[in-house]
Amino acid sequence: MSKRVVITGIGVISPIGITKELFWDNLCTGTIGTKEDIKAFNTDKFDTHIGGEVKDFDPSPYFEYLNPNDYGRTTQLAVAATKMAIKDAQIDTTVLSEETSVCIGTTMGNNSVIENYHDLNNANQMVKPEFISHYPANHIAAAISEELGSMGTTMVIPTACAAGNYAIGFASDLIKDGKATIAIAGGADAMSRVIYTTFHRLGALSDDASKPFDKNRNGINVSEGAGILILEDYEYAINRGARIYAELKGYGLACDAHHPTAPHPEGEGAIQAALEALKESGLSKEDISYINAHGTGTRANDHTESIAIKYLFGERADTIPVSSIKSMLGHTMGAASAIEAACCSLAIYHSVIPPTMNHEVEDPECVKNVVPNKSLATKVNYALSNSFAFGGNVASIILGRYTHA
Amino acid sequence: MLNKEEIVISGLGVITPFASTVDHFWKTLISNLDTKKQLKDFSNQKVWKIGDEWKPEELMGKKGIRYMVPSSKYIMGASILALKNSNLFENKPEANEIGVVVGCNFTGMESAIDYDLTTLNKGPKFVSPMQAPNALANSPASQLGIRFGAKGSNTTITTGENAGLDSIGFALNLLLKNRANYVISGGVDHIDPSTMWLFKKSGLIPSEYSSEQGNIYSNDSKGIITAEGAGVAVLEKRWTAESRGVDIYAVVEGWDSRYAPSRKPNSRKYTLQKSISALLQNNQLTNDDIDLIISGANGMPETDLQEQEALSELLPEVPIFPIKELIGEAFGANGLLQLVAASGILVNQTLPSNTVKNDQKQMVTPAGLVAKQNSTLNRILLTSQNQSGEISTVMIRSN
Repeated sequence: MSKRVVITGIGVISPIGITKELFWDNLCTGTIGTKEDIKAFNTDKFDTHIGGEVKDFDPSPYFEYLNPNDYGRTTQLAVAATKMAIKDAQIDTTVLSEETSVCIGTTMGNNSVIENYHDLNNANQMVKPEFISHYPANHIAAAISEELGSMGTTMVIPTACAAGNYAIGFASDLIKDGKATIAIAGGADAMSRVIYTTFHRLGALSDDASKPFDKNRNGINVSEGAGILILEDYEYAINRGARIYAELKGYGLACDAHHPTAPHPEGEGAIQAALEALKESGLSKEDISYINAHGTGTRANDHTESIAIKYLFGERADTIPVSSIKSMLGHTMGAASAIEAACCSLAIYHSVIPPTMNHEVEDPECVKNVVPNKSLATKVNYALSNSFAFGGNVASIILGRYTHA
Repeated sequence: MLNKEEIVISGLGVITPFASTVDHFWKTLISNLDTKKQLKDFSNQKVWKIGDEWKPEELMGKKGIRYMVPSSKYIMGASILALKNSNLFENKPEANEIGVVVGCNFTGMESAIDYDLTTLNKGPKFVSPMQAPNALANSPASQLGIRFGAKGSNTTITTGENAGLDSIGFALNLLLKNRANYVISGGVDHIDPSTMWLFKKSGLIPSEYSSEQGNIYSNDSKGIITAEGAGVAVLEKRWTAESRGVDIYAVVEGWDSRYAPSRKPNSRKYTLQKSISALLQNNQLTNDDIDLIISGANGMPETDLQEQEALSELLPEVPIFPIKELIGEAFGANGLLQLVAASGILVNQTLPSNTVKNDQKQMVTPAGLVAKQNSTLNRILLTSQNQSGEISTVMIRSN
């Protein structure tokens, strides 16, 4: 029988809170974290000025062995969120060794290193070689393993905005294959001028807080953050008396194979990934009680995601709660699906579904039950969390209420 | 009795500075070309760079290649060759059956820098929307998915020098978990001014070329010889390959990946040994079952010497082929190029002439050394280390 994988620790750093507790409270109360207050770079030349930044973040307390100033902000966010998750799981770090793996997803990696270099170069300031040398994205996961002293598989999966789910999925396989008993999995991305420029040039940025599934939605808000889950072999977690938030039931991967930046118009990849996730989970569509949508707030994404949900769930598509927390956080890129996995775990654990904020006008082309503007207290047995990325990379995961075998 | 579920290699493809067919690549390795004379001048360095003699449009047509970064062209070219080689190019399986995994590291760096400088100097409206996907690391894999209509998992792995071997590892997982029936497992990276700048800042190469670069297992090596290119293998289960009637190059027996924290003494050495031991144990093999090691040693003394120590302790009788002495360090591509080389050695039963005896006291190339004379080459271990501490290994055996 296949090993079970459970979630025992959560670390979140987001525009609506630097701790798991603050993140969850603000999520449930509908706090908007995106503001016209971007500090990472000057937005004067852009048509939009809104984004979601993590304010007052100091990485120093989370770095014990490495110098945080030698690392890019994405690595800093990932290491800090990991330390929070480890603490949340009440894991003694001295037990972390060969059977601890690290899998992290990202979109832009440490592109802030390049951007900082350009800024400092323009200001005739020197940049330390140590800082530049940690630009490659693999340093995100390596820094985590170095800080923890873990010696298992250490991998970065840069599958853009679906990366967090890819990392969580692969990490769960390492546990199921007996290659790890604990896996640190998630995603991280710092605010990046390059990705802001990319979405700006593609006309995909909203000039105010994003409105997923709203008829008047007009784009995304670029944000930053990190979400880390502690995945554990179920038996191991039980034996050490761990608190279990949820069980990772399965995941599915697919590719639209359609366009470098646009989703498949019929939601092909989204449908396939969800079906794969259901198959691996051993669940039927009727079992799903909450869908955490990719829900970026662009016309194309929300429409095609709705097509996929309607295809999959038929008449239930308009009754299953579907919410997008990007309405509050903005789009945290490679961190997004990992933070959304944290959200699903907490939704299952607390029996509360966070809302889709900024929702004013229903779009007949989109799903209807979007938990508008107010959280919903209800039991969540199984949550499907979708993530889509440029290049048509799609990953869906299913989390379920933990039940003792 | 053969295991129908085991993972086999049914197609290979390469695009490299010295060969753009697998046969030519194998001949290059076996004949041990005097490579350093053919290095190209680039950014005050001498590098292995693909020149204008390679015409991507001959393989893939002109459509879409104008906006591709070099890595996307290389991986596309190598994938077309590998798919043709495996008879999957013309006889396509169902779209959902095909997965793609690409190991790469720096493919989007130049585009990201260009985007940022354009934004700073002219404004964000002056960047090209056609270049938008190129700044992302998943662009080469995604373009493969679009070109081939591959709708199974499409994944990118970034683990530095290990990205190629880890691509193979991820592909094995997809096949063993039935997430795909055929996987295009590739590795790629290209050289441009940005990567050369990064490598200099990172201490991988000196600011000016030195003839002491790329000296494998040498305390005096001055760093790597930088290279670029792509390698691709089509992986599938034995039963699908056999039912299609295609030739099988080799069997992939396993992948292992670990991390060696720098704060633990001799961590790299012990971690590499554990990784090899795990592969052996998982396949119920002993040290004597390995006939050759194709090493990832690249001329960085710290990692090379720890590997040398690990191998001479654990596998003292097994000869080593330090492939990067010939082909340089091509980061994401190298793991796949190691796999292609290993397949050629197993198929042809011929060792490259710069294979060295695994003896700590004599790590000098005894030209023409033949491993286990008069015996068959049956199993090859591939190793790779990353400067930041990741270590990966892959084991393959003859079919």
